[in-house]
Order: sequence, then C-alpha cells, then structure tokens
Amino acid sequence: MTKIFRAESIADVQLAIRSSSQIRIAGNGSKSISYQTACDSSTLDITPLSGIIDYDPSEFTVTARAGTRLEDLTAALAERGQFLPFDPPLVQQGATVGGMIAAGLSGPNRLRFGSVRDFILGIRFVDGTGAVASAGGKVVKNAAGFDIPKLFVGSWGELGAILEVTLKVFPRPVEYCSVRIETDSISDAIEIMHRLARSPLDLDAIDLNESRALLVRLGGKPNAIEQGAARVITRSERKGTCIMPSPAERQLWSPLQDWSWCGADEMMIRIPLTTFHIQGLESKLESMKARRRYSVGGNVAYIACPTTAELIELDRILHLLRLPGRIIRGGPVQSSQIGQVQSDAFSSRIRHAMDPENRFARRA
Amino acid sequence: MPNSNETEHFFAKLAAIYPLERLLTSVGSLAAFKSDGLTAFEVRPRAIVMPESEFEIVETIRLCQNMDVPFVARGSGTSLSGGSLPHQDGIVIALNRLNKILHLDPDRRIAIVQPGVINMDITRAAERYGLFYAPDPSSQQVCTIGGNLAFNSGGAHCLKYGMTTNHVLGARVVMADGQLAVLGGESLEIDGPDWLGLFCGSEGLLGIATEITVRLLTKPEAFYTVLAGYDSIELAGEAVGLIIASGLLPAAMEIMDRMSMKAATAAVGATYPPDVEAVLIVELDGSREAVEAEREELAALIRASKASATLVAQDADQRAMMWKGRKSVFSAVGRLSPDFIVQDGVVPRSKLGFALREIDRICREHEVPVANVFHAGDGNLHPLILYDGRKPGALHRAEAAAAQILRLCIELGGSITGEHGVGMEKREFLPEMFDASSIDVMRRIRKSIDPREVANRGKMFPGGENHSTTLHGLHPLEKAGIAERM
Repeated sequence: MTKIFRAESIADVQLAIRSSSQIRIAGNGSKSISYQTACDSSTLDITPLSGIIDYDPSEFTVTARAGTRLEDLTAALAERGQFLPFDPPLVQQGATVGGMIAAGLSGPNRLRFGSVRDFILGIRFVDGTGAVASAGGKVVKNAAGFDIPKLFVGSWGELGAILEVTLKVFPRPVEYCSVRIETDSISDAIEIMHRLARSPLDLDAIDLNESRALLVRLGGKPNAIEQGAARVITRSERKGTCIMPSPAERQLWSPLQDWSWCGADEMMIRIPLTTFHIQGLESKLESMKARRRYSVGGNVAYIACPTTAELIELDRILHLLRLPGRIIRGGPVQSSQIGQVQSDAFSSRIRHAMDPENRFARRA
Repeated sequence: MPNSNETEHFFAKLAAIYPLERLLTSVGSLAAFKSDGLTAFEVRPRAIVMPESEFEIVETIRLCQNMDVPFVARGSGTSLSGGSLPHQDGIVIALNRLNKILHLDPDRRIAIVQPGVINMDITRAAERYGLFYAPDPSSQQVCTIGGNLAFNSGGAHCLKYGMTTNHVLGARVVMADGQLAVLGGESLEIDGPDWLGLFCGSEGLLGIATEITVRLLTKPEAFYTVLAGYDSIELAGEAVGLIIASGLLPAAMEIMDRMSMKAATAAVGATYPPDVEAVLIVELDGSREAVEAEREELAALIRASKASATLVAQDADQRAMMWKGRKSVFSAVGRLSPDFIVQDGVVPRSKLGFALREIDRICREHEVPVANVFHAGDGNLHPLILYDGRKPGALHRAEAAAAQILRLCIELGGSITGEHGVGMEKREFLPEMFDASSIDVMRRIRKSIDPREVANRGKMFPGGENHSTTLHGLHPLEKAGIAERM
C-alpha cells in the first residue's frame, strides 16, 4: 500500500518513518529515476521543510532545511558575495539541499576546492528508528564524534531522512574565464589534463567534451584569470582559445550544470574513475552510440544512454573494468547501480546501524 | 581475561603470530608506550605487537575479538587527546614498521601509503614532482598518517584546504572485527555513501587502515606571508574579521599571544616585533598572478587593522621561519612549564574576541597561566594551560579551567574539538555537545562493527563499566592503582 506523506514538521517525518515498512524520501524530483518494478513503499515529501535557518557570512557557514531550493540558497549566498564551491548541479531545475546531499553530486567547477563531501559540516536527520539525531557541527572545523554528515553524502535516502544541513561556503570568485583546447586524441587529451593538473595554476574546472575538446576554467580577479588563461594555453602546448568573462563563457558550462547536454529521454550515468581508466573505457565505448563527457580533470565520466540496450552493454563494460556506475536520471531501470557494486561487511553493518528495520527503501 | 590460564593462552597465540623481537612484554619496553601526547595519563598495556603485514593485523584483531582483549593502534603516539593511551587489559598494535610509500603517481596526484608513514615523508617524496600533501599538523615531522586518518588531523592550512578527511581518497581497512573492507578508491569522486568519510576521524574505534590513498596537491608557486603585531589579542582577532569580510580566502590565519611568542623564541629563536601583545600570521598562496592580484589588498587590510608592526616574508627561508616559530609552540611551552594541557575547542569566528577574554578570566580564576596560539581563521582555539604537576592541586586547577573552556565553546555554538579528537580526554563532554539520540546512533555504528568494544575501548564515548572518568579528580584507573600520572 503506497502512501504519500507531506512533512510539515519534524514530527511528521518521524511519524511517516515509524508508520511505514518501506519509505522513500523525495524532494522536487530533479534527479528522478524511474524503476521497472513498482516499489511497495510510501513516499515522504520533505519539500515543505524548507528555509535557511542560519547564515552568517563572516563564519563561512550556512544552515538550511532539507527542502530548501538550491536556487534560493545560492541566491542568498550570492547576495553576500559567497557561493557553494562544489558547484551542485540542477540549481535552476528545483534541486533541494537534502537531495544535493543524498545524491552526493558536485559539478564541473568542484575541481579547485572540493566536492560536496568536503563542504558538509553538520547534519540533523531522522534515523530508521524514527529518532531525531544530529552530528557534526555548525563551525568550519570540528572533529567531535563520528563524521555522520559525510556518510549521508551519496546515501540516496537509504540511511535516514535529512532534516537540515550545515555547509561551509567560500567567497565567490569575481569573474570566470575559460580556455578551449583542441586535442588530437584521447591519449593526447589525457596528457594535457595531467600537465594542467600538475601545473601551479589555480584551475576551477578541466572537462573533456564529446568532440575531444578540453574546457578549462579559471576563477578570480579579472587580471589574474586573463594572465592565467594565457598560461594554460602555453602549458598545454596546443592551440587554444580564450573565452573572456561573458554570458557566452557561462553558457559553456551551463549544459554540464543543468544536464541539458543529455537528452530528456536519455538515461544519465555517472562513473567515478581516474585518468588511468579513460582510455580503456573509451576503446570499449567506441562502438556504442552513447555520448559521454569526462569532468573534474578526468575523475568522473558522465554517459548519456539512449536505451536499455546501451545500458546493459555499459553494465558489462563497467564490470570488466571494475568500475562502479550509477544512473542519476532517467529510466526505467531495475537498479540505479550498474557495474561493480561495492558491498562489504562495513557498508552492510553501518546500514543496519542507521536503519535497523530496513525502513528506507533501497533500489540499488 | 579473568584468569591466568586465559592470559597464558592469549600470549601463546600472540607468540604464534609474532617473532619475539616484535612482541614486547617486558616492563621496560611497555613503559615507552604508557602515554601519548596527553601526558597527564599513563596506563601500562599488557603487550606491544609490531606487525609487518596486514595479515598479522587481521590475525591480531581476530585473536583480540575472540578473547575479548582490547587493542589500540598506535603510530608515533602524538595524540593530544589521549587517543592512543593503552587499555590496562589490552595490547598496543604499533604500526611504525608499516612505513612504506607503496606508490606515488604524479600524474593522478595520488600516493598510496602504509599507516606508519610519517606525514612529512609524503611531502618529501612528492616534492620532486612539485607536489605536496596538504594537511600539516604541528607534529608533522613525527606523526603518522594512520593516526592522522583516525583522528582527522588538521593543521594551520585548514581554512582553505580542509582537514585530513578532505585529502584521503581511499583506504584498505581491517575492521574492528577482523574483516577486510576497501573504502573509497583512487578517484576524487565517489559513488556514495561516503563510507570512508565515516571511517576517517573514527578514532580507531572502527578498525585499522593498512593502506591509505592520499591526494597530493601541486605546490603553490607563490606565497605572501605577513606577520602583523598588535597591542591586544582582540585587535588581532578583529583583523581576522576584516580579512574574512573582504572576500579574500587566505590559506592560513594564525594568532599567537605573548606567552606563545616567548616560547617560540626560546625554542627555535623565532623573532617577533617587540612590545606587541599578539601576532597574526596570514598567508596567501596560489598562482603567481592570483597572489599578485591579492597581496596589495591584504597589505591594505593589515594597515587598516591598526597593526603596530608588520613583517612580510621576503623569501622561502623567512616564510619557513615564521611557520617554524608557530609550529614549535606546543613543544616549546614545555620549556616554560613542566606540564600543560592543550585544548582545541572551536568557537564561531565572530566570537573569538569574547572567547579569548573569557579564557583569560577563567584561567585567572583558577590561577593557572595560559598561552594562546590558535587557528584564527577557523575559530579553532589552542589554549595551553600551564601547571606544575608536582605541586598539590595544580593539575586539578588546570583541568577545572580546561573543562570550563570546553563548556564555553559548546555554549558559543562551537565544538569541543577542532582537530585533536575526543579520545580519552574529552569523552565526558561528548554528551554535552550531542543529545542522547545522537550519541545512540554513534554507539550503534560502533557496536555494529565491534559489539564487544574491543577496538580502542574507553575512548570517545563516556561511561562504561571499567572506563568511566571525568577530567576532575582521580581517574578510576588511578584509584585502582593501574594508571598513574606523571
């Protein structure tokens, strides 16, 4: 029997969890994944629990409820010249703070300062027993107790219902400019990525797009980034084009931030990897129609899969390469995980500790 | 282990795992492991084992689990929270022999290291590629990466770069029940949940890491390091506020008071402007053009902050000396006082001035001198409370002051520890920071891996039948004549 709960209060969240044998937490569905088999679970809509609880720019911290729209949060930060340095995706598409943590996704511009896991400081949540608990803190540095806030990053609603989180924020770079570098081959692109990553330049993003062009981004003061951009081209020893701060420059990155490069009818798959794996993956993907991009200096691949046939093939390839993959949008699929799935005693024990009665629906 | 038969059996089993030279049981050898950086406590363990392989660690942990013998993993024993203090019924697993850098990949900017590798040795190995390992605790010349991982160690550059957890990508761990698990990987990105994030900073309660993959960063090509002197510590604190409000993101902002300066001068010959009450060290780092674009702005802010003296590091040597002075303070204070307690509570940055005045008041009230040196950018305080343990009541007064300072941090919305961990020292304060249901989740996590609480028994959590203590008065182990204080 499926039931939809709307969380108007923390007590509602507790009640929903305690009265469900299987429950799924939902935000605005910006990363909605559809499944082939219906799941006999209730749904808990946390979007009414929204709003910024505490924001003091001089502390570099902000605390917001799970249902807060990232659009609102980032606007409040921007007003004070600050931002979320991990570049969360789907800000304009309705993504919420809770969903951002639960999905654990960061955007292309997270290369310089770190991913969402590096900026979560504290959390308040309801565990599988229906109890409200908190962990971490509201200050930028804290080492007291287990780091449960990090555990929630990429937990996909399977470990608890997030109520609020405290995030570390940074001053926002004044301007951005980009450099586009054409490469000859995948191995050429990888070599340039290595060269740039090892350089002392402060690079905000290094992405490899479908047409084997490298996109590099620099944020900072106008003079510094323009000089930096020239150095990027010199370092790369290839032909490059600078794209100065402008709407066109922002347009270069927005498809990766709003996922518009991937068709609405395609499944989007995310694969954490290293540059070491890219060539192997590319050689196997050559015959496939799936479009792909490599982001964060070759530390993550995004693949757009048009049909289930490609997905099955990709699953096989990832198994061969021992890489994990996760469907982050689209479907219908059987499981959101493909490729090598990690399951060891550590993860199963911790899952059980967080949710002793298996109330949180697992669709992996 | 209640009876001597079992004890004999346990030692026989240990001897089957380790050759004699790596199984220490003599009183003399055990003495070296009785204490760590929290010198107020000493507990003599039953044995020390020195594994040279993961297999030996697995065998040891399984044996400890089977026979309900507590164990604590230990590197260089620099924990300031008593994290590697032995248990009187237990053994110490000394990881110093597992000290190899297994792999260093300059292209992917990662290193895979064993837990006994010294923090600084990673940077030494990475230097030839222009890379470095960012977390820089003051003890980085001696502390090991395994301990850094277990306690999520910080350092002077956390504001911009984060703590250990932000620089560890993967770990192979022997869980506290003897099973193996691989957490994280080699990529900067993960497919969650972030199991490794939970393991990092778990204070040795969940297991022992045997291989750790760390992230290396490219050494910044430019630095701008300023040391500014102020007539009061509050003025130095206000300068930090000005810099933060400007939108700059310095790599580090550190404050030292007069007593800390005196200690650093005595220890390493660091020089400071005369007649100042506090100094603020601010460092910008990054690409040449970025530092160039920001240095003027910082210099103007320092001028506006009523600094009475300003020194700018002109070269790498001067910069190194500024940092050497700062990082020497903990050990240097040993020259000023026979004993000290160092706290590492955190307060919101905007409440630094208030917190410092309160610390001063608290320490006066308890008649204990205090030296302040702290990570101002993070609001991470390090009051060093000085006492002479030979004088009656001195330790008690120092501990009472320390406890009041921790409560102050909690009241101000901060934390009882920024980077040293809860360990032995602050476990009674954990319930003051977290409510019962939050502690219950943490306990469930611990018990799910280690139901008998064999791994680092008696740490982080308060209470428990043979390990309840407070910072006040005699430790139960002391009452039982098992532990003694130096």
